Amino acid sequence: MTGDTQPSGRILDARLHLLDHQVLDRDDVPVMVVGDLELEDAEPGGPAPYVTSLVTGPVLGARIFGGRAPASRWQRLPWRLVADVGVVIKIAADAESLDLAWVERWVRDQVIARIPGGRHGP
Amino acid sequence: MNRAAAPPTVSRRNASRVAAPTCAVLAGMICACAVLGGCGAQAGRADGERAVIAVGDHLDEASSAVATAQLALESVRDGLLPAVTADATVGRAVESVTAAAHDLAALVPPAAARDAVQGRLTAWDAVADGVAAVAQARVALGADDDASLSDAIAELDDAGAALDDAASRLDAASRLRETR
Amino acid sequence: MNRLLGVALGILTAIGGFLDAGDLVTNAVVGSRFGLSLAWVVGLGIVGICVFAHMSGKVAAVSGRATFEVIRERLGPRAAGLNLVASLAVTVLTLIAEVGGIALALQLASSVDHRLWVPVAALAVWLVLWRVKFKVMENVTGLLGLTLIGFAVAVFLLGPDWGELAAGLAPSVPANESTTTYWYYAVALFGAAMTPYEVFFFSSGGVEEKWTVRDLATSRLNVLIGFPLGGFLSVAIAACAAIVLLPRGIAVDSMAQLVLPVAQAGGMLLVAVVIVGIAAATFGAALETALSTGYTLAQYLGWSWGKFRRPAHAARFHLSMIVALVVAVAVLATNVDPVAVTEYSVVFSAVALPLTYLPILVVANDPEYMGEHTNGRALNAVGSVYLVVLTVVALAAVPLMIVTRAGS
Repeated sequence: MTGDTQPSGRILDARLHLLDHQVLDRDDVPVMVVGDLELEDAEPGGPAPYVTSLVTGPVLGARIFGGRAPASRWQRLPWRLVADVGVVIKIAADAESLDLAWVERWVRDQVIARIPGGRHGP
Repeated sequence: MNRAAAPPTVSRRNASRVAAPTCAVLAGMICACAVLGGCGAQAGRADGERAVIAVGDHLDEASSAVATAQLALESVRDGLLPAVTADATVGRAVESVTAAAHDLAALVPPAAARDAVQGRLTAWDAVADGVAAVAQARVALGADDDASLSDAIAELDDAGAALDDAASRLDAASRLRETR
Repeated sequence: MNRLLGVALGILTAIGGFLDAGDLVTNAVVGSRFGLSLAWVVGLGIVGICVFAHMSGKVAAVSGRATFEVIRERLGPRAAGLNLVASLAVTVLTLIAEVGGIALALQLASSVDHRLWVPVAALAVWLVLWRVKFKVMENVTGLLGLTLIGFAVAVFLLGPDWGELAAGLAPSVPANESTTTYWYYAVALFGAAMTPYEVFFFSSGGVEEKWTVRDLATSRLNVLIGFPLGGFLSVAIAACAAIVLLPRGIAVDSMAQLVLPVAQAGGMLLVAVVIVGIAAATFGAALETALSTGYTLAQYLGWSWGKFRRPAHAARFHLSMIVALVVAVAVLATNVDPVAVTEYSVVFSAVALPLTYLPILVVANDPEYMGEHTNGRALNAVGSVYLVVLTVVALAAVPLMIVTRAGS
């Protein structure tokens, strides 16, 4: 690491441990795949920056085709919810309670739940 | 673990991530699709030699369809195949043989290539007989009596022989031209 | 019986690879034009798919991760996205062919025109996806698909000259076919054997069945029974066509011709058995490809997925499968030949094959995922050799298709 002082918190390799990893909620329901990271104190050559949130949504398009998604359309998952970083990232919350699950909720309420049998287990 | 720090420089450890030459591959695929689309359209005009080969191919297709119908009818006669299934099989054979006839009719050999023009005319007679015989086969399947089945099989047999004959005459004609 | 049901996933997966509507016809086409001179390709394909399906099953059992999640993780969004587009194209093209194939199989049994059966077939597929448990689905379609063994029975009943048949196994190009056409069909058969949706389906199926390290033996058994069986049956279909249709000058161009050798061999009863098998195999392959569509999209984008969840708890997953089925019905409504559709999937396999199998090999060697179950040296050696073969096949596929006009 660069700098004299060790940053507090765990040191992670953004690409190896975070980007494109699956995020699961506390009941192992998939929430999102990490599309990008929102960092704090990031300056080239400076000490390791802190991750403030995991981002998904239109940032995926920006990573594939280049450019930058407007910050207003980022779907953020605050880092304080993260419980564990391993092969998958676990969060200590229900997927249901998150803002970024609105597409899933919308599809469910407007389409899938309206088809007979949609709410029953197979 | 409240906050995590990520190193500002990308680590060398992630060699397993493969950078993709996305655009190049994508462009290649689009070109491939375009070329394929071009190949799909059958060229109507062909030079003499290619026309003779095409006539031969269409004869083979027609004779394959006639043989299919004949085998299906023989199986029904021998009690090996349900008439319902045979009808579906012969129905497909009708599509194949009419497709062969259509392609043969759409072929335009150059007027100077006498063997191709003549070959196409002979082939046409045989293929037209084939279409009639395969179409008649479905009538026989519907009638479901041994006499009409036997008639239809004989007709298919004749049509098949005529197609083989046309093919060998085409072969002989083109070989004659090669030796000249 | 339990043992047999335990390998249903492997059998169903292999049916989708070796015996789906397009491959049923391709096998017969190859048999009626090339005899058994291309059977070695099926052997090559069986070994390859066994090696990589084994790895993907192992990854699923040990780490609980399905294949496309791993692909996105290892290749990043761009290369994985390219793979997603190509794989989806292969999978949806195959799904179209399968729905059409079910309809054709039903026409063989009913003489009602297959175009009328298409919506019925699609609706039946959707109902199974919507309401039937994964376990029940794989057991029923896997077992019914086994009736395709009728083709192997037919080969025996036809009583061919075995020596001559065995001599035909040697790779050689028949006199009236060109070398490029021979290699086009070789690539098509190899691509069909290793088609990527098989590992997507197999690994996701392992997750659906909640495999753990203790199920490694089940996974291996599935691989070792399912794929060789699928390959064996595809060679049997080629042999049937080679024995009965090749001498009569019949070049197969439709599924309806598949029953002709069977009728010659075993009469009405065997024909009925084989028609059930064709219907079950195409139905199973339709389920496999429809589910794979949902699996790949959901795993790439991180949606909630799985048939073990209620549809409402995997809403986008189910919506994407519904969309795929609607697309299939819409394409079939244009009166396109369903089987001809699959010929074009070779183009997309070319991109998808290496991009699918490389990440599997990498992750199967990563101790963070696999703990003590990382690949042995022999498996890695074979896997690496196959990656080279896959790359060569991928590069050769499109030029061969253009030169031979898709084998015509």
